[in-house]
Amino acid sequence: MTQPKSEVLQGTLDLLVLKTLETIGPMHGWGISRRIQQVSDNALQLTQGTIYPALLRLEQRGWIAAEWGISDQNRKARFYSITKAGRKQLHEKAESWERMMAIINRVLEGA
Amino acid sequence: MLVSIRAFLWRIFHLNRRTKSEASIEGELEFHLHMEIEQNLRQGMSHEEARRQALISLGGLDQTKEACRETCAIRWASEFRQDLRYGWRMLRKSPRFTAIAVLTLALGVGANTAIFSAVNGILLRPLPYADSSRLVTIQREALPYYITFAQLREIQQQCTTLEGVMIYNTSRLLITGGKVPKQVEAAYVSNDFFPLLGVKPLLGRLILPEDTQPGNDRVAILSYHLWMNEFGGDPGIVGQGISVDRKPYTVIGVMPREFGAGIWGSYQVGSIDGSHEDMWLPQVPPPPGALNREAGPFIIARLKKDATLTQVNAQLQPLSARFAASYSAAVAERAGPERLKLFAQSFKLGISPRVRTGLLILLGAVGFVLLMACVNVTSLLVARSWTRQRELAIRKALGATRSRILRQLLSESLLLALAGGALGLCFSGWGIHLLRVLAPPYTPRVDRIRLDGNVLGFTMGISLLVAVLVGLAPALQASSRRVGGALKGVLGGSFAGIALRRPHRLRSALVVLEVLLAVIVVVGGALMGRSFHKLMSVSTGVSENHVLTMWANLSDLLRNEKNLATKYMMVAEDVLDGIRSLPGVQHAALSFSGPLNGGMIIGHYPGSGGSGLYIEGRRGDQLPAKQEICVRFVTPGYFAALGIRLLKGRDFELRDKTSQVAIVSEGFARKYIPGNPLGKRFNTDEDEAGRHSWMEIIGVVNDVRDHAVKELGGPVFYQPLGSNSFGFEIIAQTSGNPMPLVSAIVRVVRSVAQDAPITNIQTVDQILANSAAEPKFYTALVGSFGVLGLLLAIIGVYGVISYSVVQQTHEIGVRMALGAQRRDVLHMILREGMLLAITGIAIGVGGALGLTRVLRSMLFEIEPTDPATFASVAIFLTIAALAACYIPARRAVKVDPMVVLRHE
Repeated sequence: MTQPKSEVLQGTLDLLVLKTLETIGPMHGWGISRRIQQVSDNALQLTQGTIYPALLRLEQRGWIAAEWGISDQNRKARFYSITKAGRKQLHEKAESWERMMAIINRVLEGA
Repeated sequence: MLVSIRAFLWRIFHLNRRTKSEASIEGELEFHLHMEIEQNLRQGMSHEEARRQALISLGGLDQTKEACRETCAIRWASEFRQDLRYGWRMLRKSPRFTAIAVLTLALGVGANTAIFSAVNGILLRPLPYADSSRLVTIQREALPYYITFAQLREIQQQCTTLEGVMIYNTSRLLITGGKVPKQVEAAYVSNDFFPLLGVKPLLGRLILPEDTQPGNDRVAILSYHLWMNEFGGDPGIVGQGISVDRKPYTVIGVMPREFGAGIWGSYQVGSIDGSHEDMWLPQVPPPPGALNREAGPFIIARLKKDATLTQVNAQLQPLSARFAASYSAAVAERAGPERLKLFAQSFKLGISPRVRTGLLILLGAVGFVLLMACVNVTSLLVARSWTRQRELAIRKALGATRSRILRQLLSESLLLALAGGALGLCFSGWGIHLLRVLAPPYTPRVDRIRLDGNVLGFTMGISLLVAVLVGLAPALQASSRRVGGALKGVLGGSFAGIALRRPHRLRSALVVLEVLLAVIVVVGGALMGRSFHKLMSVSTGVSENHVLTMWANLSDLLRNEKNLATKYMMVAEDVLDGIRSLPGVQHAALSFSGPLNGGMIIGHYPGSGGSGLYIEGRRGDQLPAKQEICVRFVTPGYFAALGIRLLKGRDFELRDKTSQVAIVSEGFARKYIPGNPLGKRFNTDEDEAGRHSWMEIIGVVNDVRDHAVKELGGPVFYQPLGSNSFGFEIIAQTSGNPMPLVSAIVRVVRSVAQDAPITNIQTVDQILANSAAEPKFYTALVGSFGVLGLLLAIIGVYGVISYSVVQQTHEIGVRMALGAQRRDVLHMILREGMLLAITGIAIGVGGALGLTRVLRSMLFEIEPTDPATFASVAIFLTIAALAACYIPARRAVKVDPMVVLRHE
């Protein structure tokens, strides 16, 4: 409540999820959203209404895989992991994101 | 691309595991919630607070589920079932609405199904022959000019696009050996005939090549009906002997029931009798010297593979021109060169154009009725979707997307349409029964009017179409409404009702559409009704009561007679004397043809030479243009027996039979003979030298509605019966019911001419009723569609206006509280309704002016754009619409402003 929360663009959410899974390995939805929240210093708040449809979408596209497993607290949870196609996608997306950022920065600075 | 295919496959894969994936989403969300609560607990919140904060931070649980489901599977497939279940519940919750909607649609669908089953059975269904779409017939329009054997042979050789080219010829023959001597319609066919049509015999065998050799040709194949009626369905009939025209024949086979029933009848030009063949005999090829003999009226053949009718006609053209050139100039002039041309057409086209036009008109009219039913149900649904705003708004607030709501409403209308279609199918059963009973006599293929795969497909198709027509507008309207506005409108806000006036546009459009469709249907019905009324009120020119007619066939008796004319007249006079002496017979006469149908037609083509009308002292070019004149040969007493009035001059007398005299109809005199016709002379032929043997006019009689009733008073003249012929029509006027006298008259004929077959026993009023049956049938149907349309329009307009009044109750209350008079409110509502109705009537009259043209061939003495009919329909519909608006308007002004305002 103390900090303004940013809305996440849909395309970038995919990027964030893939990057998170690549870094920390298989993780459940709650963990992913917590992780993104922490890494962004609470600047990004992901509600379940955002994260779960996104996970489904990524799963449908074959970029991540899902499996039921047991969480640290001995609860049944669905764990997601990045696939080979997902990794490829991540690198492509990250690259184009960086290119885009560079262009935008240049425009902003130049103006 | 690849990705989207993958996603699609994933969805398909998960479709069957629908419930599992649903559970999986739930489990996952539950886990998420749990983790959130744990975290909050760790931060030191109380248990309740932790749960509450978790729920808040997560956003709505249901929205999330809905969002997941949205991405999850091919939603509509599984949601469809859910929508249908939900729709079913909604429909059951308002049974009155459902009943009215289903019934309205059922009427529309049922009527359409019934009419379509007639179109399907009569026009569309293939004939029961092998590969019947490739069967063609070749004939001339000028029917008396038959195709000769030589011509047939040339066509067989030259038309490479055809195979199995054969001639078809029929003849009336007398058979004995059955119950009674009977005249039958026999067809002479070659041994290729049955194989060409791909039919098999019910009993025995078909005609073989050796049967067509002279001397071996005394074999016959019977029709099912002849076998049943005359030979009692004797299973041992094959091999038995019968006598055909006094010659011994052997029965070799019996055809199945549907073969030959009325198919050929439709080719008999000029005959209303859709008679069928009773018997098939082998056609013996002519001896080489007799190739110029006429072979038959038309050719049957089959198109070769990949050949088209156009190609056949192109190949026929040079042949046809050559054949036409071989006729004498006189024949060519008389028949008209165009009508001598041979032309090929598809076998099916033999159904007369009148039947085709009639059925298509019915299909059009009934289609309009269905449209009106749709409009009615649409406006019901629009009204209902208003009352369901609250439900829809809540669903939307809970995260249902626009397309979801659209689909749900559409599946409701689909349910309505399917229920209407199913009930309509039941109704159509009665409709089909009625059609078969009411169909005018001689309608071809009536027995094929029934429900079959085609008809069921049609019903299913129009039901689906109805679902879309009926559901789309209200569903779009309902799903597009903004949540906030709708919620506000539902939950309160005094002026919400006024703020939300936009959907009026849709309602107005529906009223206009309804009224304009009604105008078209009602105008059609009214035109047919007026035409029928005129037809029935026109005098027939004959007395309709107590006149009996029958045909006595003397061909057997006269066949070997040397002095034909004398013998014929002897028999005629003896029969006439015998009948006149019967008690109860007042007048009796004989004629060469039936009193209201038939007669010999002489084509009149002025200035052409040969056959035609010649009037002493007038040049040919002074006569009116091309015209057909009917001549009848009658005995004295003919006019008295039929109640035809002699206007001038005298009736025939016995001594006239050898003299050149004639009696003409009023129409004849008016058209051709200025001044007093008595004593004037005319003729219908001239010899090679251009000489005439004039006939003197000795009398004038009133016009008679001749042929079918529709042709009124063409020019007719009468000559004394005296020429040689093979039979005569007996006409007897009796003092009471003529039917008991039939057997006495038959006895008289048989006493003079033993074994003479007597057919076509009917009274004049039966003949008239038969010829009126067709216009009656179409009038009844189009008329009842008109009435149905009118009722639907009144109900529809009433429904929409009264609903709009309910919607405006609040506004009316406010207006009245502010001082508006009841009269002003009444006027306001009437003005709103009538403006729409009159717009609809105006557009409808315009549309009807364009559409009623198709009725022209069905109308008798009335123009399809008859101003009186149009005006009266417009006025009538205006009054009906006024009444439909007035009742709800009256209710509106009874509103008590205090009650309305307090209600808020």
